[in-house]
Formats: sequence, C-alpha cells, structure tokens
Amino acid sequence: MPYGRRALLSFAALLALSLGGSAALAPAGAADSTVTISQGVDPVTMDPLKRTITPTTNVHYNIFDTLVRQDREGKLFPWVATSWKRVTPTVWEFKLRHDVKFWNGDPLTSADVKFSVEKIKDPAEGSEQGPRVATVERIETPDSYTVRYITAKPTAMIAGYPWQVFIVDSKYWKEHGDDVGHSSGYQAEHPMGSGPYIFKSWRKDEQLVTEANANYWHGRPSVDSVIWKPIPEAAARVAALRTGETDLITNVPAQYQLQLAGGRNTRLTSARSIRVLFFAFNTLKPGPQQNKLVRQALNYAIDVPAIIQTVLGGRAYAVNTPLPPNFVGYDPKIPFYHHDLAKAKELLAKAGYPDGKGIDMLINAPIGRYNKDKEIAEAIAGQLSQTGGHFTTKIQEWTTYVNFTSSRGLTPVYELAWGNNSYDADNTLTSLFTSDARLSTYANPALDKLIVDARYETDPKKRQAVYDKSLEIIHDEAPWLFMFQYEDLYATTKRLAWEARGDEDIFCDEMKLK
Amino acid sequence: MTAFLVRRAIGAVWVVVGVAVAVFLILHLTGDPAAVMMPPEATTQQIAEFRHNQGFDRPLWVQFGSFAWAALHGDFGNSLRHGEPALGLALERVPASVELAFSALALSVVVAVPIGVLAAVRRNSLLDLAARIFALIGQSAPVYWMGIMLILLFGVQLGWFPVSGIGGIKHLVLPTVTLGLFTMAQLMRLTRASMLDVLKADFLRTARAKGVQPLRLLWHHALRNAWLPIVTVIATELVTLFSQAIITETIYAWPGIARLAVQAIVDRDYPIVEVVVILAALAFVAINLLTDVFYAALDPRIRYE
Amino acid sequence: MATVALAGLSLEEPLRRKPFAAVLFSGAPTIVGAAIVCAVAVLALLAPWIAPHDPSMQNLALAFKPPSWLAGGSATYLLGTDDLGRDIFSRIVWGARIAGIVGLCAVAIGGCIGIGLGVVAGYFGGIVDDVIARIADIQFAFPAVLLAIAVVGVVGPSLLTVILTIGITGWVQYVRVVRAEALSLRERDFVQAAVATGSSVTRILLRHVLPNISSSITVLTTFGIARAIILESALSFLALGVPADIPSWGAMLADGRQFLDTAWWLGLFPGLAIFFTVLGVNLFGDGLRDALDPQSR
Repeated sequence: MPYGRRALLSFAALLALSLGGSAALAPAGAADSTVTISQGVDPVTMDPLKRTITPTTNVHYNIFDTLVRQDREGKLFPWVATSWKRVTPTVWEFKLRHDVKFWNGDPLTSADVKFSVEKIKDPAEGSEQGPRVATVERIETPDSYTVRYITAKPTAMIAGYPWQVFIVDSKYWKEHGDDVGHSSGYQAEHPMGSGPYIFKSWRKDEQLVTEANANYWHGRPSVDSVIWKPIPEAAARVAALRTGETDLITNVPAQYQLQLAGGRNTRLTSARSIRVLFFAFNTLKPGPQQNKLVRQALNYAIDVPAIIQTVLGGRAYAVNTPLPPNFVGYDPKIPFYHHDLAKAKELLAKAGYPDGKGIDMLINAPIGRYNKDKEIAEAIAGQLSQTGGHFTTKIQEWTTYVNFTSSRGLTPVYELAWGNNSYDADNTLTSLFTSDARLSTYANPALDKLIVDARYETDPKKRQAVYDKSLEIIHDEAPWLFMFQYEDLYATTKRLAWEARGDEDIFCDEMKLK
Repeated sequence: MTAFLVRRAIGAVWVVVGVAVAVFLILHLTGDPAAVMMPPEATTQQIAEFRHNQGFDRPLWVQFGSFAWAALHGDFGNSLRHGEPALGLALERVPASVELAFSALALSVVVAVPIGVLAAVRRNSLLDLAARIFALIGQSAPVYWMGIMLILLFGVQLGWFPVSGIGGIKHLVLPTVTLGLFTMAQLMRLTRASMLDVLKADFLRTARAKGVQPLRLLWHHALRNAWLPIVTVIATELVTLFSQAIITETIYAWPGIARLAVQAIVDRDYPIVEVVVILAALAFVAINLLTDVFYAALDPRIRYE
Repeated sequence: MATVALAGLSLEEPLRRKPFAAVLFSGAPTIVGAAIVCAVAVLALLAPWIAPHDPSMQNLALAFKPPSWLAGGSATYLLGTDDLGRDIFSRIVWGARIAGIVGLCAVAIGGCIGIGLGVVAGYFGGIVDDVIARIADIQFAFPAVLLAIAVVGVVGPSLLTVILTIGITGWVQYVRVVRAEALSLRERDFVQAAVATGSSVTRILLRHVLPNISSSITVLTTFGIARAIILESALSFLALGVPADIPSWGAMLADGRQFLDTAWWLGLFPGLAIFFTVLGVNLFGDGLRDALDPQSR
C-alpha cells in the first residue's frame, strides 16, 4: 500500500520537523533583573505618533519622553520641560532640559517637539492623536530649547495631550524618509527614542524586549530589562503570573483578587480608575426615557452598591454625578440616588407608568470592552425589572456597538465607560453632555453654556461654582443611570515593587526588584 | 489525469476569487473601523475626515475595484491597526501557526489512525471501548474549557509546562494537545467507522474466502479502501484546525495567524482580514488539490474525465 | 450485530430477521445514549415544570452559592447559583431546550442543504459537481467566525443568528463526504444495473444511493448535533453567542470559564451538560449507524 505508507511517513516527518523546528526557537534564560509585563494585547506599532490605545502607549511611555509627566493625582510635573508659563492667553511656553539625548546620541531639541506635533497634525499621517492636538494651531521654536504652543483659543494648562506628545528624533525620521507630508513606514518597527528603556527586539504577539538606558538623563532605571509579553485570555494571564512566567498583569478580574492577594508569590495593587461607567438614556429618541421622572425613577430602582459588591468584588466606587471625587469640578454636596424601589414605583406612577406598565426598554451593552460590562448590564436589567417594567439586554461586540454610538443609534438605554486622564471635569462634561458632542444623547442649551463658561474661567473658585451648578442640573435631569468609578486591579509577583496608577499608564522606571 | 488537475486548478482560482469577493463584501457590510480607530473624544467631523482619508466613503464597487487591482499586484494595503503592509504582517505569523497546526495534526493522525483501525478490527473489545470513550470525550469537551483545565492542571498545579507563549518543545505541548484533541477524536471515530464499513464489504469476504493473510487483508484490502473518507476528513480537519486555532492561540497567547485574524476582525482591520482569509483560501485550495490527487491514487474507481 | 474477528477469520452470520428496534437496542452503549438523549428531551420539553426557579431571576445577595451538598450551599439551589445569583440547575434545565433547538435546527439546515447538494454533485458529476464543489469550497474556506460576525452585524445578536451561523457553516461537512461516497457508489454494480434497467434518476438516488450512504449521514448528523452544541459555546467564547438573557449551556460555560478556579460550579455543570448530551447523541448515533447499515441487517 504505497500511498498509505507514504502518507504516514510524511506525517511522521512533519512531526519530527515541527518538534525539531521549535527546539531551535528556545528562548534565552531570563536574567534576574528582568521584569516581564503581560497586558491583554500587544502594542500595535512603535510609531508613537499614530495610535492612542493604552497597551501601545504604555510601551511608548518607556521608550520615548514627553514634555511633562502626570502624577497619580493628575498633577503635571516637569520632565523634558523644566518649566512652563503662559506668555499670552493663547501662547504656552516650555523650557527644555539641555541634557536629553536620543539613544543614537542626537540631542533632543525644540525642533524635535515641533516635528512631532506637526507630524501628528499632518492630514496625510492619518494619526488618531490628531483630535488631541487639534487645539494647537502651530508651534514656534525661538531657540533650540524653547517651545511655544500657539492655540486658537485660550487654553487652561490642565493635563492633556498637547503637552504629552511623544517626542521623536526628527533627524532620524528624515533620514529614513519620514517627513511632514510623507511616511515610509520605517518607524513602525524601528523606534528611536530618548526614554528610560531602549527598544531591542519585537516579535509581534510574542514579545517585545527593552533594556535599561544607561545614559538616561534621569538616571539609569533600576530594572535591567523589561519584556512585554501579551496574554489575551484573563485566566491564562493569571495562571502565567502564578507560575512566575510573568511579573505584572493588567486587568485582573475581581474574582481572582483573594487568590492573588493571598498567593504564595503574588500580590495585588490597585488604584481608583479614571474610568466611570454609566448607562445613558438616549433622550434624543422618542420613548419614556424622554420623561425626566422616568429617568429619576429608574435611578432609584437600581442598587449600585450591590452590583459593585457582587459583580466587581467590591472594586468600584458609586458616583452621584458623572465625576468621581478625585476629579477637579467634583461636588460632594450632591446626594446619591439611593436604592428605593417604593420611590421608584411612585415616580413611575406619577409619570404615567403605574407598576411599570408601558415601559419596555432595551439595555444596550458591549461585551469584553470594560471589566464585567455584560454582567453589569444583565444585573441592571434584573434590578430594573423589579419596577414591573420590561427590560431586556442587547449585548454586542465592541466594533459593531461603537459604530452605533457614532450615529447616536443606541436606544433607549446604553452602557459606556468614560476614561478621562486629565482628572478635570471639562473633558467628561464636554464629550458626554453638550448638545453637539458625538457621544452625547442629551441636549440642554443652559447646560451647554455653563460647560463652555467653566472651560474659559481662570479663577478656580468661580470655575468650581459653575461646575456645581452644572452637576446639579445633570443630577436632577438624570440623563444617566449613575453607576460607579472603577478600581483598576493589577497583580505582580512579590519580588516586583510597583504600584498601580488610575490612568492605566505603566512607567517601568518606577519599578524596583526586591 | 493532467486535464483533471488543470480543471481543478482553474476551479481553485475561482474559489480564491469567490472568497476574496465574499470577505470584502462581508467586511464592508458590517461597519467600518473609523469609530473604533479614533479616540473617543474625536468629533463626528474628525471621524468623517478619517473615513474620507481612508477612502471608506467611496462607493463599494470603487473600493472593491481598487482593492482587487492592488491585490493582483500583491499589495493588500497597510494594516489600519499597525500602519504596515498587511501581507508582511500576516506572513510573519504563518510559521508559528503552521508549527502548531501541523504538530496537532501529526499528533492526531499518529494516535488516531492506528487506534481507530485496531478498534474496528477488535470491535467491542476493551480497546474499542476505550477508543470510543476517548473519542467521545475529545469531541464533547469545548476547546477553551479543555485549554483552561490543562493550564490549571499541568501549568499551575503540577508546573510541568509553561502556560503561555511560544518557545521550545515545552511551550508546544499544551497547545498541541488542546488543538489536536478534537481532531484526534474526530479522526479516530471516522477511521473506526470507515474501517468497519470496509471490513463488511463483499470484496473482503471474497478475499477472506480466498484465504488471504489477515494482516495483508487488513493493510492491502481494508485500509486502502478506508483511506478515502479518512483523507477527506484530514483535509477538512485542516480548516477546522484553523477555526479551533483561533481559540487555542488566544488562550495560549500563541503568536499565530489565527490570533492576528481574530483581533483584526474585532478591529475591522480590513486589509489584515482580507489578506488572512485569502491566504487561508490559498492554503485550502492547495490542500484540496492534494486531496484530489490522493483520491485519484487511492480509489481507481473514480473517473476524472 | 455482526462481529468480525479478523484474526480467526470467522464471520458470524449477520442478523437478518430481527426487527430494527431489537437490533438498535441490542448494545448497552446505545441504550445509555438513548437514555441520555431521552433525558435531555424530557428536560427540554418539561423545563417549566422541572426547573424550580425562573432561570433569569437574579438575586445578587445570593450570588456564588455553592452546590447544595457543599458547606454554604442550600437545598433550594441544587447546583448553586451563578455570579448574578441565578439558579444554575434551572438554567441547565432550560438550557436543554436551547441546546435542542440549536442542535436540531442547525443540523436540519446544514443537513438538508448538504445532503441534497452532495448527492446531486456526486451522482451527476460534471458541471453541476464543479459548481457545487466550488461553492462548497468557498464556504468551507471561509472562517465561520467572520461569517458569524457578519450575520450578527446584519441580523443582530439572537438565537436565530447562532442557528443560521452554525447551519450555514455546517452543510459543507455533508457535501464533501456525501459527494465522495455518491461518486464512488455511482460506479458500483448495483447502481449501474439500475441505470441499465432504466430506473429513473430520482428512484436511483432515493432507492440505491441514499440508503447506501445513510450510515455516513447518520454519523455526520450525530457529529453535526455535537458540533452545533460545541460551536455554540465557541461562539459564546468569542462573544458572538446567544443573547445574554437566554440560558444556553455554551454561554454559561463561556462565562463560567473565568471562575473555573474560584467558583468552579459556574463552569463545571454546563460543561458536564454539554459533555453528556454530546456523549449521548454520539452513542445513540453509533447504535443507529450499526442498525441502519444495510450490510449488517
């Protein structure tokens, strides 16, 4: 039987080949001062001027520098820029350090900052960071170590992207065919940074290796080498941490917290997230959700602390407004909608829906986007059903879901979570409550005006007063089911000293090994 | 035979074209990536600009025309996610996937075919029972459940094998077993069933009556005929393996093409999805052609004109 | 049932005259399989009366209750409760109905298309065969996940979406095997004889071709039901499964996988339900196959 035998032989050969082939790929043993970090996904590019997604920018923060850095409370502190001041209402001036060098020895100058911002603003670049520097009209460089941001309108010096652009080596970029108006694609895999860690190698979806920059202007970082090794499945990520294959994992599901906190070799670290989860009512589409009393009633019908306790293992903080307490603009005087089913039913009756009759609402939610997004939506639907109304969930994968948000097509109720790393009210309120914002399904000219007033108010006390008023309106109008601020959970091996940040960033030069 | 193969090759071209058209249409019907790619604070106008820059606002047939024309020249465009040529990104993942898929297939064939044959020959024996139970378990357990159980048992509890990533043979063990199990079970079942069919066939009775040696009978007459469905299944299993690999590569953080594909689908990274699906189609038609050659060689009763 | 003992080259006389049912239920595995299938069918049909609780009734205060026989468990919740405090036993009972609907509908869709096209393609050959083979190849080469996303995108997430996805991707399994067998059967003496005596094509296909591939079809159908149930859970893994408020075993397992080492009962019981159902279907299918086989009767 020649064919059968040949087939068997060839399969045997393939087996041998595949085993032999893989043996050659065995990795070098990791040295002791190596830290392995496992996020859910791999960075997508080493071009730091293109994308905005956290797992990618987390790597960029360690191989590139920014003018300023942000502390755990959201305050900016000097980094490559030693100082900054407002020269005129529309001009911010930054003084740069003189001792910052790219890995190839090129000095980092104002020309590099200018190049980086201009490259992002270049339409041909198609950068997703474009909207984040949209307020910057142009950049001036009076000398090699002075940069001036000229904005179209007066802009407050709050944490924000214009000042947090990754600075690239303009000379190196031009040498490799990348200039404003033209891209070679070379930078996607060949970064030249000035950051604390030097990029060594990258096999996509496998591992990205960086080594400590011995000549870093801020001093050589403590950990010799950092490897970024993505693991998509949460259970596998936890398993890899427990076996010591990795030292730091992100997005730890709450159910593992006891296991990891009490682990032989593992510990938890967490921080109040900049992300607030909410269910918005689409008040622009017809339905009972356009009635304020209904919206208030449903806020009384939900039991947020119970959801936090059960679904998130206690790892979240209920909010009374769209802003969490650690944000500028927060107003502690505004009360919570406490769980009160009787009051909910009373309000519904008053609105013309006794015992929830006539209420049939679809709760839209994504799956796999936010921690326990689907479960939270299911729990909300379950609690709302107690009013006697009919509530069902419609869960969709993120891309389909987010496309509906662009057209305000999710109705009558939809789940979103908003991350705002400026720790300031403006970004949240502007993006989610002003009439013409893409993600806003609520329109109120009075509120629009307050939000704009607050943005350009320079006196902090007066600014807070305007926000107090805005938040009162939002609380009373209840365009959301107010939910909670997440707590972000990370876990590390015990040998690694590193504390979580609420803005989801990971700075490896803050790490130490015990 | 040559004419037959030429005809099949032409058919293969149509399959690839059909797949390319299907993937293009399906992708473009399910929403474009602009909303996902842009940061949340982007305005409607900024999203519209992005869409325009990427050409998503052109009529579908214009988009298809330019896609097809470039693709014919080997240019599938830049990945939206990575900003690099999609073809290169896809090709660099092929070795890892091939390594995993072939070791899984090899493991399945090496274990399943001999056991399937023996189980059929010694029908209702203890071995047959064990093989059937194994096949049933293998087919009844969802891949990801199996994968996580193997990770917890052999990775975390026993510490025998690493739980994620690619590396040496040790890294290959758990994903191979996870990926291979279903195929192994399927193959074992089909080999057994197919052998049972053949063992009952008239020509075997004749051969038996003529006093042909048992082993010779088994090898020369029985297995030869049982190969036909087995080869069919091995060929189809390669595609099943690709689907299963989506889950296996995700659970074991294996840097293969299936994981790239699933991420690209989630992100609507059109160029990557298109190139991966077309590559898979090419691999598929190649395997199919080989299967046809096998058929021709294994079953002389099949006509080819 | 014929037992072939090759070593001794003895061949038992095939059972010719026994009634079908006697042949079918002559083996213990088949009986076990049939029993499981019946049990699942009973659960599915009588779910409202068997399930002690509303399967979608949540009670966050009662979440993560272990099964009744463990410390902290309660007799009210036989198999414990899930992360939203829903009764797992009730969800499993109702899940049987979903599994039945998904399995049968998907196989019916896939089987009808696949067998029809496969027989026609294999028997007639030529252009018909070519066209069908190409369509099958295109379908086959096309990743099911992508199709699932497309169907979900167009139809929206629903039970129907899942059934359609599984059904549409399933027919190719039939076509390939059925076609190969029909191709081979066409050349067999008895088919040629029927052709020579002027039997109509329909008659040949129904009387001579279909019965002779019925054992393959039976095996494929059991594969198909098993595949449907397992694929349903795989779609749930990729967040493309049945909507969250429908209690399906696949969705329960996909959700429960995050709790396998903290609250194992969330994933284990739906896993076992899937496992035993697929096992039962397969055992029964095996028995059916042996009983249907024209050469063993």
